[in-house]
Amino acid sequence: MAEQRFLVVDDSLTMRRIVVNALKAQGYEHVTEAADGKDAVARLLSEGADFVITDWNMPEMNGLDLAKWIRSNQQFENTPILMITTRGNKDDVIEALKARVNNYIVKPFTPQGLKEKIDQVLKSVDPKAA
Amino acid sequence: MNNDSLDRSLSAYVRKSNTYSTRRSDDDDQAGLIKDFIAHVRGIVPLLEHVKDSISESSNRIPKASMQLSKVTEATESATVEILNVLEAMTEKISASQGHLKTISQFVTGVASDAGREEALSAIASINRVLTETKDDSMNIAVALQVQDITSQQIAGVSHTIESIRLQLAEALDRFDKPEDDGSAIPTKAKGSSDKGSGSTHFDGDADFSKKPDRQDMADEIVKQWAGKNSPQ
Repeated sequence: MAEQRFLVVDDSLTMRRIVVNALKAQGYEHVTEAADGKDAVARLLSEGADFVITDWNMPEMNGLDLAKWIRSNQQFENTPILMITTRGNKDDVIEALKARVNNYIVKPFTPQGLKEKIDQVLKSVDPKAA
Repeated sequence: MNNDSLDRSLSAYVRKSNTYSTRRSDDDDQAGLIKDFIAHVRGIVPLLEHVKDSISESSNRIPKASMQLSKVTEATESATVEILNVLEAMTEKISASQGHLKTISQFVTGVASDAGREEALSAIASINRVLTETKDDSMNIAVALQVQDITSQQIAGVSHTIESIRLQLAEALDRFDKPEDDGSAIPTKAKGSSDKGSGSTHFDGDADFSKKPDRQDMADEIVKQWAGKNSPQ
């Protein structure tokens, strides 16, 4: 479990640090950060990642476009994506799912909620995991 | 239109009206009405000038208000980062203390007598429990700091709205200066304007720091239904 390499994407430094701390508290040591979708694409291409946690509203390239880019790229198309966002309307969730994110968290999140969603996603992409 | 040109135009209208009025039986009444009308319009002009000045003054204040809101966001982010720094340092110290406790525990197990060992190990376990709880508390404080991200998005939404208002006021001022425009090209909102923020904006004006589970429950239900519909048959 702790070997998963996470990429945390959020334009808020505060949010990135909170998510990174929550992941580390859960035993995930390999965590990198990106400030927006464009930065995330660069990180994916240079370092790769096994799991992407992304915000939606960001400058340059938003989380929805990042999800679409990941799904359209052969190298990363199966990378699990968890969206953590303030957007909590039904239409937003459906739009994110259409972009093929694996799961969805509405801010503010709890460390327990984050853990549950990560476990669910890992189980759905690999039933032997989590 | 300034006062002089308005006067000229109205005077011409009065002269023309007076010419007609000589041919009619109710000339005096009509001329009186027109004079009243002119007096009324003359009274409106300073009022319009006052409205224009007020709009201009309000419009000029908006950039300062936007800048003040940006400063609030910067200040809260800076304070939040400082708090996170302290919390992370605290967590590291707690983890280090727990490491020391483990060493002490191993030492006590090896050297203390049976009677003293149980007591010492029990005390060590209690200290370890308190440290773990303190670590959890510091994580809960860190998680509560999400409020900074959420309020900064709300502030960005407000800034966007007042910028839209500034644009509308600027357009209104243009209409004072160019009254011949019919106003059909006037935008009612700034480009991409929305309190919520579209998918392409970097804020959500509807962001809400609510710990009620209803929005997450709704999202979970949709995700569940979606997974059911899209799972392999």
